[in-house]
Amino acid sequence: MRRRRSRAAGMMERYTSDGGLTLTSMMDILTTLLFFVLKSYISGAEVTVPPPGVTLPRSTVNADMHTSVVVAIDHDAIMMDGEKIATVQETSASDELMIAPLAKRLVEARAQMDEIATRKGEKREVSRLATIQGDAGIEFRVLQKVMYTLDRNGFPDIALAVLKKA
Amino acid sequence: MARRAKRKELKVNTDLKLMPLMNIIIALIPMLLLSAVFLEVKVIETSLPRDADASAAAAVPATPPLDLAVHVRGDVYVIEGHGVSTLLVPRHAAAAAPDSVATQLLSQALHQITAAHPGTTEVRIVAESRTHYQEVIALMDVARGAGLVNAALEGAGDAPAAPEGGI
Repeated sequence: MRRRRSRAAGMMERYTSDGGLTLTSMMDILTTLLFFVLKSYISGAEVTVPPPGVTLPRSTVNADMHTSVVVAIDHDAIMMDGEKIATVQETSASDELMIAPLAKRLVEARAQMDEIATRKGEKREVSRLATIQGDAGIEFRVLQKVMYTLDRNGFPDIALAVLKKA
Repeated sequence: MARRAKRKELKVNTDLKLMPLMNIIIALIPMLLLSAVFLEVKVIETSLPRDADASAAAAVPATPPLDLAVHVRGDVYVIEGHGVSTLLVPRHAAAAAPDSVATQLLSQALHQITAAHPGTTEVRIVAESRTHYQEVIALMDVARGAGLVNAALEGAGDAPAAPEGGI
């Protein structure tokens, strides 16, 4: 009687599940998906996502972004490192080609980059590249003033960020 | 009996506790997907037009430089250059970018110029102050398609002149 009972108990143990889910394969899928999504943010060690509110123009060009100072222009503001520097309205209305607040920030950025390079002991010249992430709808006069300000404040190499046409 | 009880106590569950990690990942993925941009961001390298330096200006070249320029004016694109007859291409002033006909005509004209002047890679895009950025980029694309890979941007003269550059 005892033997029969223990055999039944053994069979129950063998065929009864404890109700837990098999999560390992699910975890593999989700981890792969997570890395894929993170990769879409970063390309060539450079964050490529334009700031919210900026719709980049479309182009057939095929050159990748490089690490650089980034100036973003939307319909309302000119931004550097995500911080609003000047308004588009004031910039458009001004007769000056130089945007003074942006120039000040660029000089600071230039000095900071030079200091970092000196401390690192880098002998090669610090990059003078700046990337403009401008909205497709902005007027040329705003772009022109931003380019002029970049050129006159130590960033003569200018890259215009665009979205690749399909 | 006592030995059996002891063996039962020593049984350890070796399964990993994956649920907290799963919860984090499940929260992270929708958040990243919502803010991700799945379009490729590329760059067009450009610069301001430069005046020729003093030594270059002193030396008079045998043939004057082509100095090719595409001007954006009211309802027309104007292609100009030294030794090139001026070409006019109709433009829709209200459009944000050149239409397909204008693009084709510009492309043909620039191809003809580059074929007649091999080695030419420079062009100036001279835009008006109210020209849309997308239109400037579209013109740079047309120029690049014709082999003019070094496009410089310039204002149409309604802004004050730069001390050195042409903008």
